[in-house]
Amino acid sequence: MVTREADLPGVGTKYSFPLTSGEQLVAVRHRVGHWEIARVDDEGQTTPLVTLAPKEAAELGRILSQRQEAEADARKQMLFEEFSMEWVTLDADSPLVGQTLRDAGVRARTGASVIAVLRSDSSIPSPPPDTSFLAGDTLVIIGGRNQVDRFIREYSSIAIDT
Amino acid sequence: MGPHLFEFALLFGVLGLAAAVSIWLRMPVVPLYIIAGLGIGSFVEKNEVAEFLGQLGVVFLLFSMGLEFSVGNLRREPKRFILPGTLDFAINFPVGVAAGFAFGSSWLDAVFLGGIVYMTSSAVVSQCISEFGRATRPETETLLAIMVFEDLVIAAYLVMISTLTGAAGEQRAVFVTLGLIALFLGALWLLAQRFQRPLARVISPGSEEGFTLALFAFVLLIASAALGVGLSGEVGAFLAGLVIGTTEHKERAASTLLPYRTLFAALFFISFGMSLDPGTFNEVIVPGVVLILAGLATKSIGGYLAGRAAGHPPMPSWVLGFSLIPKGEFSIVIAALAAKATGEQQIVALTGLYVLSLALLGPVAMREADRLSRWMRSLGGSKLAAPKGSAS
Repeated sequence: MVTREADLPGVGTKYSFPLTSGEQLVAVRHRVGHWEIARVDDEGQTTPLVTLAPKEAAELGRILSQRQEAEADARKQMLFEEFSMEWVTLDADSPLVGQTLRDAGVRARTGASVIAVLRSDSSIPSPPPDTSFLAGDTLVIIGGRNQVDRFIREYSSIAIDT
Repeated sequence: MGPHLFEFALLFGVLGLAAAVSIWLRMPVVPLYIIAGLGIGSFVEKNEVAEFLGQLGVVFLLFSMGLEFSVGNLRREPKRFILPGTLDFAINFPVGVAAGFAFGSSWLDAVFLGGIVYMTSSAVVSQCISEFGRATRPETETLLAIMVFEDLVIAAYLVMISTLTGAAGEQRAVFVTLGLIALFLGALWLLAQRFQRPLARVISPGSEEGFTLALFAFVLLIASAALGVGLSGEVGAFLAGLVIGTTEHKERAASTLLPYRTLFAALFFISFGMSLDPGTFNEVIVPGVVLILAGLATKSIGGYLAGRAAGHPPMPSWVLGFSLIPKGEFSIVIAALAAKATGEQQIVALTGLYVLSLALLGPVAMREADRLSRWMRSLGGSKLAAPKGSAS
């Protein structure tokens, strides 16, 4: 389906696409924000269908696109189940405290990756290998379910569930 | 200022009332502003301040028209507007010129009349489109394409008549004025292109006040510069709008001006109404009526042919024709330029009668367009041959 878009100078923007009935569905967004929707037959006769205030148009759009969104969400959910992302806060007695990312060999030992370090006053996204950890740091880790579980067992007793 | 305060209260009160009546009548507000002006003009002394506000109105109205002028995606489909636009021009402009000669005007006045007869009012038409729910109709696209074409013509036309008249009243060599316009446009363009960045830095994105005030200062500065070099302030403002429209500030300037535009348009049309003297209509009643009938006929037929040429069936083509009838701001501006150039007030009275009538009849014709076009068809409108090559 091809939607045609045309400027209506001084009025707004017009969108139209053919319906299976052979008519055209025409929606015009006025410059001031409201929408006018109509169908047009091949004789050029126009039947106005509805005029919508901006909020009403947004609601209609939400309803119409909801189903597709739900399907897309389900697909994302499925993919998400194959890996896991956790926020892990380091205790003072965690073996990681005082070590750098490289020395600890986090990746080699657990398979999980540290993608960010959150401190009270700053954050380090994609920490470089020489980042050293402090007690109280919250690490954002990502990996397969087993890898993330292993990380938590090795380095921390507290996992903040997302 | 003291005594004027009450007059202004009255002025804005009347404008507000006109707007309310327009909603009640489901009519566009422009003709009501003109009538309101006509009404208060007859018992309120016209003062300098009101006149000045009217001038301010026309400067900003023309600036925002230049600013919003956009060929848009018509550039990709040139035949959608070039053929219909040319037909509209070729049928209407010569009729105005011919009428001018028939009334025994000078050729300069005849050229002015051509423009006055030809230019449709964007202000009235776009309001009618929204008011009467016409935006979704296929012929409305062609209607607006024709309006864009008219805007292109008016830009060239304003420059041309400035050249013919020297606008300041004195007779100048044509090439001097043309050179001035070229220089003026060149300087404006350079200003807009070269100073975009420094300008953007001065007007920090957070400051709405800064932007609004700088924009106002800019428009008035350019308009007065145009006056200074002997062009008219209106033409300068329109050209400034066109140039700013090519820069990245276009959107922001347009949305900043939108609320003020309503105010300026109201002031412009009411001060036009106040400047009219109904007493002078008697002197121009015969040419006036001829001109009105000619305008009604040629705009409808020209619009019909343009619609057929763009591939619309007969009925929507008639609707298109009736939608081109409203006259307004451009005709008024041309008449003001003409009066300044020739020193004759007759053209102002004639235009006053013409614009007033068609600003009133136009929206009525547009509202009743469906009924009228059925009527035209049963009257044998189908005998009017569609131009060759038109597809339906």
